[in-house]
Amino acid sequence: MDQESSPFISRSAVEIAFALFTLAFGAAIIGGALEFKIGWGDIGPEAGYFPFRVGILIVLASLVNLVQPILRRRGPAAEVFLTREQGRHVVAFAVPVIALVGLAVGLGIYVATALYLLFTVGFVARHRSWLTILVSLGAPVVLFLLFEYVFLTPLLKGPLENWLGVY
Amino acid sequence: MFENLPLLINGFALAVSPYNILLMIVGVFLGILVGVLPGLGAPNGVTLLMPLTFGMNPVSAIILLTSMYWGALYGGSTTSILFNIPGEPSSVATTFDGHPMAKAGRATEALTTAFLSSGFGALFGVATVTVLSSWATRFALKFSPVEYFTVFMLAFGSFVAFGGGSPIKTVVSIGLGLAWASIGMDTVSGSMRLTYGIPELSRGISLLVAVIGLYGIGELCQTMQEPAGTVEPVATKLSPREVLRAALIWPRYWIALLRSALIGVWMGITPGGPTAATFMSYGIGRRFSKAGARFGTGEPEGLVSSEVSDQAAGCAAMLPMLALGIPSSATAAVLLGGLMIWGLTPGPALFAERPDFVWGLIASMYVSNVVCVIMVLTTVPLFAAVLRAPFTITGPLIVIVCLVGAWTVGSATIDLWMVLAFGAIGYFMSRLQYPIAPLVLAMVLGDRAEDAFRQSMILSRGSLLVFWSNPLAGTVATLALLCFAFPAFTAVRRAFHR
Repeated sequence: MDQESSPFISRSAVEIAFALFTLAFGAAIIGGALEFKIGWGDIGPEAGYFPFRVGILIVLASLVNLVQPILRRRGPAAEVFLTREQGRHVVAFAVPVIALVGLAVGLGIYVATALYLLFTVGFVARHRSWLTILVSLGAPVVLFLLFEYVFLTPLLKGPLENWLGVY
Repeated sequence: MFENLPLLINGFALAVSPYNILLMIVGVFLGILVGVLPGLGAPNGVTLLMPLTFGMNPVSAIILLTSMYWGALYGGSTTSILFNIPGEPSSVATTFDGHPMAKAGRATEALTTAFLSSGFGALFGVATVTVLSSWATRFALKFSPVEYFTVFMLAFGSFVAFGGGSPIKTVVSIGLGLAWASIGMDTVSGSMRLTYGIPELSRGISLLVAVIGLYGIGELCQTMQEPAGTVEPVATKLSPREVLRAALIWPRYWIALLRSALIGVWMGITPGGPTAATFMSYGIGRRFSKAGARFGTGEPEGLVSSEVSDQAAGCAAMLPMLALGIPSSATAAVLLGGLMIWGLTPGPALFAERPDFVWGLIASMYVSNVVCVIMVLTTVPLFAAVLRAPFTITGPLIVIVCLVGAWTVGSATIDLWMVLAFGAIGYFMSRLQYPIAPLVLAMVLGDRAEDAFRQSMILSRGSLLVFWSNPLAGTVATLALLCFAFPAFTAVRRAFHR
């Protein structure tokens, strides 16, 4: 087995991690519900009644999902969740998307779109420079015309639009 | 049955105006596009388009969005057959026989058979909706909060019993959806729940933002995980002569057509949904048809079984959505959310107060499915070319579309971060086989289920026996409990057989 296709994360590890996540989420819901009365009031169930029970349901089901892969782990089926190469693909997709949202909040959606496409199309996928420029400048321009003039639904703007005087 | 005829004719008068026909064509075109592209299925596509319809009149808005839904169902079949990539969960069964046919050089026959079958299923589904609608509204008038709560439970229960996969994971999905739905203002007491002091959470979590993240970003991430270039090219030219030849053979499958249409309509009206319908129809076809032994090797009848029931269930699902406000698919759930945003309340009153809306929609379903069959047959080469465009460009563009869509829902920056969070959750959920459709359903029904429960408890002064206080509620409540118990029952039986 070469380095690229070697297992990176096992399926049971991710099963356990996700079950822990839903478990914590269910606990948080129970905690939030406990800020209110969870029993019966004058007008039937109180505000916390329903969320409290939903939280308990999530916690109980998560515990089952948590125990199952631990029990099965002793068997031969150590399924692979991600190989090293797949993991790299996922990271290469996810990190620019997170950066895109950060940039969009700071610089507005149009500028963030241009920078994101410049990076993913030009730098990561290494398409030709004319295509990269066409896509990364064309997309925000098309978005701008569509949303500001056709749909009349302005998108988030940032300092560049302010400086240019476009609102 | 004939009492609906004048209403339907009025509906046609509305639906076939040039403006609405144009909307149908646009909707179907966009629908096929989102059905073909990975990361943009029917629920997600309809969600992305929805904020742009807030200013439209509701009849035109629903025509545009439902046309997109039908188009996406056809587009999903195209990629299933040509590339073995099910564009929609409900077209997974289409790959079983559709792709082997395409690989054997019978792509044209497979596509023609699939589209005609879908069209037949759709028309059968709409005809059922037309005939049953007055009966359904009369039935729905009997519903009090007690009956509504039992039906909501049955909707959740049927996902646990018949959803396939792990029932415990389905329960987690439903729980997450119910919990997200209860964030924000409590409709009875007016208090802010589960906001943990974060002011942005007080308006609740938007269903539309959640769907864009769960289906859009989540699925894209999954697609990106595999290196590009795994798409096997299959000839995609459709010669009119071959289309005609396939169309002439097609009526021979009339038994499969009728059988699958009935299964589809049944699963669409009861909360089973299109995905369950296709698997059930395919399974029954394999067991009872003469051609059953050849299913899975490129047998047209297998393709017919899956396609007819898919579209029949999708169309029939509009009936419980309009008459009871109970969606039986993720896309119907999103459409239901839209209905409420346009200020329409589903239920029997909708049929009485807005006959133009209800019958305009039903009439449009006849027309737009015909538009679908014509458009999908003429545009297959175009969309096959779209799918061959390098995904390193279309992928990032779809990310942008998702992000812009999330912004247009409420013009809030927190929604942009929410989409990321839901995208991550969606990725892990689908990789670990947690079903997403019940989560979406629970998010839509959560508030109403809680209200119905609390109102029932006020009526009964706290006795749970109220759910068995009349035959209708009692039957549905018992069925719901049986559904939740079903997986335990099968597990015990399996243990005994061992």
